[in-house]
Amino acid sequence: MSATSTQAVRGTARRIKANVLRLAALIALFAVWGYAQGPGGASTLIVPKIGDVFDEFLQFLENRAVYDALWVTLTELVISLVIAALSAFVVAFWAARTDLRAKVIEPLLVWGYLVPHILFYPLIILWLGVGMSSKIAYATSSAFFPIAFNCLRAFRGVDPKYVSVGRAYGASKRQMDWQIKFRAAVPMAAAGLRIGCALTLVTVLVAEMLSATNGLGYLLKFYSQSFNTARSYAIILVILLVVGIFHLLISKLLPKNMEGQA
Amino acid sequence: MTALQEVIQVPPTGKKVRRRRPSQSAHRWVLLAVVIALLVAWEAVSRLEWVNPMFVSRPTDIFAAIPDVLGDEKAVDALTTTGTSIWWAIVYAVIIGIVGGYLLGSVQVLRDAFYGPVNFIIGIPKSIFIPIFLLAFGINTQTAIYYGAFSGIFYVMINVVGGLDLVEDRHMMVARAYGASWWYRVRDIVLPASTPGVFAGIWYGIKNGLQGVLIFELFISVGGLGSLIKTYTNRLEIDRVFVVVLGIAVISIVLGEIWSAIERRLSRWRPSSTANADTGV
Amino acid sequence: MALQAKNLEVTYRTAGGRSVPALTDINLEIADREFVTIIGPSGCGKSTLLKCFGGLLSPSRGEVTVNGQPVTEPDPNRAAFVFQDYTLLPWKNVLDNAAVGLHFAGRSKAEGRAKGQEMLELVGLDEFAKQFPRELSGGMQQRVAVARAMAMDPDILLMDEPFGALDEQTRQKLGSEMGRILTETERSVVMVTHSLDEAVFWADRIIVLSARPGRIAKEIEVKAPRPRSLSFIGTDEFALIRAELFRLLEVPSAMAEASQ
Repeated sequence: MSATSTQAVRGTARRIKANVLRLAALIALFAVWGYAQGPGGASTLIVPKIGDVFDEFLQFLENRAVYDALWVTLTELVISLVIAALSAFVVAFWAARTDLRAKVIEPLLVWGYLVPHILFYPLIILWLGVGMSSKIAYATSSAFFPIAFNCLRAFRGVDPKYVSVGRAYGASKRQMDWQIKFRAAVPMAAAGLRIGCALTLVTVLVAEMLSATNGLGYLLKFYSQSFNTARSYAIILVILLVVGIFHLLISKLLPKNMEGQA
Repeated sequence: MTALQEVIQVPPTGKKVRRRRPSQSAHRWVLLAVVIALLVAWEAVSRLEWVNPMFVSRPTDIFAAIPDVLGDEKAVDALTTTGTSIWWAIVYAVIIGIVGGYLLGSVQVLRDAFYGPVNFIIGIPKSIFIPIFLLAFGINTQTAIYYGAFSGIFYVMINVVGGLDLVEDRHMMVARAYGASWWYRVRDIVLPASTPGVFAGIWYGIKNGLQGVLIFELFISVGGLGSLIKTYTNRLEIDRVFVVVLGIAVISIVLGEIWSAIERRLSRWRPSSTANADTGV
Repeated sequence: MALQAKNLEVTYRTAGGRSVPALTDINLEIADREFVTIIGPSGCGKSTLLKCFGGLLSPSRGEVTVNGQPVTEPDPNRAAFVFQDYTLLPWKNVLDNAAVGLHFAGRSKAEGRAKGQEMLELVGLDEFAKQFPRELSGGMQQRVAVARAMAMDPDILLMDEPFGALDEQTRQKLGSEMGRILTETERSVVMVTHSLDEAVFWADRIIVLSARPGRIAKEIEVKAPRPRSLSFIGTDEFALIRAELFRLLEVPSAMAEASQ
């Protein structure tokens, strides 16, 4: 009993120390900002007033345009993620069924992952226009390869002992696929999916910043190019908020430790 | 905290440990056949005009355009500019990332305070900071380097920390029992034990640093390949765009494969159980 | 006298601030070239005691001396460790592993290599010098670990269940080989074990520790001269001592009686 309580005390002490350090870093950041703003003499075009950014941020929370942009971004995000995950899953499952297929497909997936997809984006714009479909295409192609690679590895790497158990108990081919191979592959496939989620978010925003007609990335580009610096900073805050919520959702829906469910 | 940790720790190319044996090489021919088939299909679709050849070009045209691009002074300039920027972005990212990673990983207070935030930064789309980089450093290639380095640094750091977690207590105990001083413990235990993490870190530093520079160049015209691709695309010189894009793609793939070969060689000592764990059955 | 422990006591401080005694009242002398085995119920502090001998752990009270010198920190020239799970450094080849102590002591590469090679010959692994540990079997790895310890020319070898991680057959084969080596090199050896057979077979003297807190419950001398052949296992002396150990370790009241 007392053991746990002291541990807790020590843990608390560590946490306090850590938070003090974090706070110090934050204060340092604002101090530099404040200095640049005041005595440093930096233009508000470069370093906006902290209060202005905060005001803009609060205004954004009531701004219809921001919610529209958010809706566009989220739609692109979800659609790309669904397409990428489903197609990756099908390809990986198909490829994992024979040795030859797996060996041929795996390097293709690795290469697809190695290529900087961003280079194709101007072409995608040319083909699909500046609307939502070009963002979806780009994000899907970026997320597909890591998800498929991880799923393929997952299906191929199923511990042979599970397969033997299945065989020993007379599992049919279908039962083998669903009850054994699929179940055993869940943790690693989930890892792939997590990577895919994060990657889709990143790529959708980049794509919107490069060329788009709506979306959070587009808003950021618009404000920064019209030299509305306080607004640019505020929209960055909005995006950070969205990113934070998104990651919180991922960690709730796709927990790191999925063994229990596998 | 974020979703990226797995990808960080498993560079996808580093794992094909199987040795080349004649009986196993059949798949290489199939792979080659598949690649050729894809190219032929592309050519056919373009020639039969199922899609507008003006927009998708075709392999033969692209091949024919290689000398044009190589002869284009602007293209060569762009390649040099971007190559230099990428190089410096990677150098900064790797050096700062490794030093920072070892600090973050080995000083407990720092780890408690900043591991979480750094991990969160990894999950953030770095591109949203491009406007700030532009405001702070101006529209020039130097800013591309800074932004590229910024894109890579955090991946390097997190992986180095992950590498430090691979250092085993029992090996540290051996070092103590055999009288190793602080310096020997660092050199002979900590550094070699953490190399897998450092390697993964450099790998992701390179990948993200490179991508960062390219994204920056596409976002704002500071010369380099980004501008070149945009120019070619606007002039509808699609075969030239493909020469550049596929050229970079092939270079990336080749460098990636070379990298994984080096990594394989340097980690020969690793117990097979971990090194080949995911080779499949 | 090679090693002496006086009024040794080790207490652990739990996170709650309570002190839990792990070892108390250990008084022990180990002579030159003596082979001592330490046996006791699990959790009795056998390994803790060995760590105190080697300076990996400072006792809460009392002191350990080797050749009259107090032990405060590890010194492989004084007492060299052989760990249960071998713990060779996986990124160094077999030869460099064998010479690692000399390397840490700042000796030249050539000197380390020469000594390492010599020790590998002693344990019969000189042909594997360039191999990495993962390419060797468990038994071979443990022989490298012994070579690593011997390369330090220690006064005492401290072995923490050195055969614990090996299968029965490897254990026996390695055991008889080690018997030859350890006898030839004429060193004091302290070996912790949980195997009754090992405890009897190897020892000049067996130290039996009682359950937590560990204290010396009984010392048993084994008179048969070393090195012993496997036929020693068939003798009456072996059987009698083994039966005695069995009684002490498996019958709680017997241990309690002996501890008084």
